[in-house]
Amino acid sequence: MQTLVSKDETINFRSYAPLEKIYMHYGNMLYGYLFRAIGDHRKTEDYLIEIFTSISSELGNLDLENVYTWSAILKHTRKKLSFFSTYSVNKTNPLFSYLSDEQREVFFASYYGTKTLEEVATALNKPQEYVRKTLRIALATISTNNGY
Amino acid sequence: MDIKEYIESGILESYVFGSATKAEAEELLKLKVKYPEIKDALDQLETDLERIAMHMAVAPPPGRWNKIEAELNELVKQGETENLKITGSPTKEDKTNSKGGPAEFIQLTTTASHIRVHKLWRILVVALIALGLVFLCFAIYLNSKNKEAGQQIEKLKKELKSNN
Repeated sequence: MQTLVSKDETINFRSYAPLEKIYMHYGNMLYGYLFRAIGDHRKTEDYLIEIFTSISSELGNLDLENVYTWSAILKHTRKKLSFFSTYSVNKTNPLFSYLSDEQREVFFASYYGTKTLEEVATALNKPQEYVRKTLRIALATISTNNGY
Repeated sequence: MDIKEYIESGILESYVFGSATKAEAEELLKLKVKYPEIKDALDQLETDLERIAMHMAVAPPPGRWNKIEAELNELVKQGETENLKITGSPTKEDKTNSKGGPAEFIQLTTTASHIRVHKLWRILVVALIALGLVFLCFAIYLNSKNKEAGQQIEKLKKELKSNN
């Protein structure tokens, strides 16, 4: 069987080097992020592969030098994995030992994107502005106590 | 505008986590261009977020990249990657290539045993099969009704004969 393919496309589809660089840099981070929520290596691997195979088509070119790349990957991942529940996310890590229970709740709900800010605010029975500031303080606490 | 107050409101964090509203996100993107302090705060936040992820990183089992590559190749084979944006080069529909000249096409011989058909065909085939089944059921129903009517006629004929 013969197929017509433009030369440009052939080079295009076969060149995964830019994506491989992204994988080499962010693969561990994404795997850690997914594993913390899924807790099963086999399923985590499946999702890792699914997310990386869809990154090119849905996010286009990603730049290693760009500070927004990781959050773009995170947003893409959250869209793909809507089943996450913060209750099953492993929240134990020395990184979060300085956070209060409330700060931890707000941080994980936001980080894993299981709830909108409005939903978190409703669950905590607090105004949205308060929840936003809590999230800000939580991130600042993590950064300060871990020497960022 | 009080930039400090804006930054401290937590809107930047909401944006980074994707929980800001569309209007808030649009406003932030405009302000980021206008005020370098906001851009710096946002960049710092993105960097912190990456550091958090680095702290929680877990190495995937070796050979995962090969699986991703194999998966991508499979998608190419299936012809489902027409919108891949790996390099942003022109698509098939483009009349010119990236250098501005006319697109050059080459013929590739493949060993694939499957042919590519438009997705619409799948729907059409399913619809035709469904329609066929409906007609078949209708035909069976009519046939049984026909038999029933024949039997009734025979019965009536016999009754008429016996009455005569």
